[in-house]
Amino acid sequence: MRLCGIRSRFTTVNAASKRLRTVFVVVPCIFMIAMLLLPALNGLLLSFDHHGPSLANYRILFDDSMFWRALGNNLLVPFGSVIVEFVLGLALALMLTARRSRSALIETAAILPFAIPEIVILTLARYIFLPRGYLNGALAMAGMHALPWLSPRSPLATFTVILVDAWHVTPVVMLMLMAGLQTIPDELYEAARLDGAGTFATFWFVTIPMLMPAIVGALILRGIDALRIFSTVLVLTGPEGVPVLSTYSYSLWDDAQKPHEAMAASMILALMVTMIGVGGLLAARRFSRDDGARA
Amino acid sequence: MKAMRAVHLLCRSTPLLLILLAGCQGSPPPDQLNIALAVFPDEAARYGSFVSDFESQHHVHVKVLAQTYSDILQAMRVQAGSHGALDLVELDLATLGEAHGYAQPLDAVVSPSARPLFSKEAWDAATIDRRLYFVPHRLMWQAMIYNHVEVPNPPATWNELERFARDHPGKLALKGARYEGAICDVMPFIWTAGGNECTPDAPGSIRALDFLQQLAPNLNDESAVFREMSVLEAQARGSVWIHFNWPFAMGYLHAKGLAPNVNLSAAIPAGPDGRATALGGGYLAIPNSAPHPKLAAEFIQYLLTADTQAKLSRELGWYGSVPPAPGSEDAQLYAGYTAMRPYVRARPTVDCYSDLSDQWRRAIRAVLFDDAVPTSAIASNVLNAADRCVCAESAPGSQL
Amino acid sequence: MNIRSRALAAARFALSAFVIVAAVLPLYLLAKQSVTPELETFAWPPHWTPHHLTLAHFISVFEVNELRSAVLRSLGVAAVSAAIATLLGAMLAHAMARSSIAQRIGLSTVSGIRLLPMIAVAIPLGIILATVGIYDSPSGIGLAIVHAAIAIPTAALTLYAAFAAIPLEIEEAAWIDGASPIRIFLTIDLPMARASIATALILCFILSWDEFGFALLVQQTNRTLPPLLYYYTVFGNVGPASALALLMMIPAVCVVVALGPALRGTLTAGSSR
Repeated sequence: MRLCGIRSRFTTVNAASKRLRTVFVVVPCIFMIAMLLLPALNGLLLSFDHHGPSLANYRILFDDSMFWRALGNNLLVPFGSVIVEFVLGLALALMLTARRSRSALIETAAILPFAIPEIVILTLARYIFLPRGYLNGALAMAGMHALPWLSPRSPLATFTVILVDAWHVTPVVMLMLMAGLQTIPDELYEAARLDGAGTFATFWFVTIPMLMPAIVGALILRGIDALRIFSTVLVLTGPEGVPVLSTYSYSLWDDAQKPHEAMAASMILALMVTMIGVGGLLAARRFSRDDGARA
Repeated sequence: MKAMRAVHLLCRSTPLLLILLAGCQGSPPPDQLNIALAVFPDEAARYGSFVSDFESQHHVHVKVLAQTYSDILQAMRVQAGSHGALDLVELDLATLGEAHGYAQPLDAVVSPSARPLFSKEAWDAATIDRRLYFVPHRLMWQAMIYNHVEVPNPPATWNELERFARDHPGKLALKGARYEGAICDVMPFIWTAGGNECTPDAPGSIRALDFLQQLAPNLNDESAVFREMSVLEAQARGSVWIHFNWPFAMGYLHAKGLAPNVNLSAAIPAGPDGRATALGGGYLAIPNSAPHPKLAAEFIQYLLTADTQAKLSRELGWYGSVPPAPGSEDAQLYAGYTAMRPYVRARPTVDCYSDLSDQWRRAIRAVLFDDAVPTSAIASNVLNAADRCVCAESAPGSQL
Repeated sequence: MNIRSRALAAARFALSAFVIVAAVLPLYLLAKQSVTPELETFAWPPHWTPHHLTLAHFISVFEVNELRSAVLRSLGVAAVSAAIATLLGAMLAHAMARSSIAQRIGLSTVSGIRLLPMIAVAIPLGIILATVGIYDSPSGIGLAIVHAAIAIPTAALTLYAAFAAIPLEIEEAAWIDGASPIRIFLTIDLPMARASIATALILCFILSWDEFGFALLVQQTNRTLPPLLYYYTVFGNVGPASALALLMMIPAVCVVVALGPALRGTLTAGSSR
């Protein structure tokens, strides 16, 4: 995978600059690997430790119905979140790129949810969606029934979590897609207009295909991030409300004081993220190769 | 240039600084005692001023760190292997069994004259393998918190409680999250039906779970995720009218201006076998890795005098040892707790308690939230753990 | 055609209105909660405008010891981690801009690191940090090091473009003049990438300031601001929580609004989940 738009260049080959470059690559990479990958590998080893090497930790997880709920939610919630992010992000990106409606106010307002720390957004969302929070208060004022936005027994809770999770990240998707939109040459739009294509046809046959690389890139990045959802569910519903693998692991560690089972759960999450991440990257590479072949 | 001027200033003032520093060498810096307590930050400040006597007597500075019980236990666990930073830690009663390995025995520290300050049951809970590892610090038990504006006559028996739940669906809440607090809410029901945590298939246990299953459809929806503070906030907001909680709940409601004008405490409804409530709260321990163990022991001895306990109750409102003065506002706020004082019962302090408790939590949640039949819920979850765990049952109804 | 363009205009207007309301209304509610007594915030139906005003919540933020030290700790951790991450990121970015092998290695490492969930790293990392003795330290040094590690990808991708844009001729001229490679890096490359370095520092600072997961697990008792806000919120202290939330927003919002254009293209790089 190459970084888009900028080709790498080579300096004059000489031993001294090669040495420097080696150091410059090795030191940061070793630092990242030591601080992040090695502990994860250690966690992997410990997840197989239950008074001696065994699979018992995983068997305990598989016996727990809440684990399966967490596993299912860990696929459902990120999937929903990514869809909302992209629909909303694409709509905002299209709106902000059209020259007529360019406005600093709207741009700032669109970026604001990303500027604010996630924990602040979640605090806000909690006070909005509580049973006696602002949203139900507004509904009561309008004479409507209160809704169980975050009730653990209600499917609505999953929807609320998806909405809040997506809202914080939509500005990022919007910016990525805006960058992609700006690379579409005006001539294509002119040609489509001359051919008599309407707005929707232009969108479907010009914008979307040209935007595909940006969409795919953003999908992979945001998809992987969405799978690791943690603070959203922790703050809004607690570990038992809409369980996902990371909060399930956290509650095993904090509430149940069972670190090895917690690590087993986190390893299953890591496996899921790796599989989907690698799968996505391979699919994207195949996709861009096909595209290249067609061109 | 500015830089030159700065250098000149520094050179001229350096001798003065050295003289001042030399003068300061005279008095040695006071020792510091680090205590980790499960208190709220503002309570930590009040505790700090409460121990100012000890500070001046012993020429030390007492640093109070406000944390949660589970954080403290984790910190103790990770510090056990390396150098410690904490001299005294407060641990939850439920974790005493597994934590005693990290704590120093205190038999020599606690004098016989200090024993009458707390009940035999409270001391028994701190004694493991016939050695004393902990001292009671902030003993608490649960009572019923109710909204007396909406519920002028709080339920006093199981039947009345069930009727209340039926008449006002969603207004009764239990702390049903998958943590120890669920045990503290539910175990009293088991106890007052004649069952106990060590014999999950006894008729009393099943009867209590049957009753809970009757209550379940009318409980507040969020009971599945409620913990002490979230159910308390719901009570403050009026989403919940009755729940069970520790004394700090009344303190919180009082601080928000919602007690005694809206909320009060009452005794937990009586079951077929009488009343019961779970003993809980904090015990102090000196970690094996404590940097100042002698100082910590002196602090414990300072705490365990009648005067200090009376002062504790007056200044901090901790009534585990000394009840609130009759006629005071606190007596009104904590009326339910005073009423439950004779019915306090401890959970077993055994090594394997956390396993047993974990299985009970699943059984309770299965009954309350997943419509499981009590006998099968017990069988699939708790029986194995109870068989593996040799429980030391505590006697019911000890006087505190 | 007319109807369709009018429908589009209406949709655009609705979307704009939604975005502005969704951004502004919650902030207003938070601000209201921070200056009204908690009794009012607990009222039902909720008050939409403040009836009484109080500064007590903001005062408590500055008076309560724990809050003050959390602010200082957050600042310290963010500053230190931003500095380390920018330095290491600059090194990596420079190598990646000058060698395709380095680029491959760098990208694989960064992509691989991205796949690790926080919870899978934080729990075993806590145990390791405890063995070394910096778990839950009052200075937050353990957390600063972790934040530096997760911020390196952001810094590297921000600085890559800047380094790649430096013309080789300048470097070669200095080489001919007898400068060593490290000297070229320090005296030519870094100064020329000044603007991107500033951007990287700021982005890494914000990343650390906002980070919640590692902070929750590694600094259990000596907390930074995000976990502290979490505890205040779930402990039902609405007033102080709202005041704290507002204060936490200030650095991030100022920076993002000021940096607006520079953010495009670099926002894709960082994530701390």
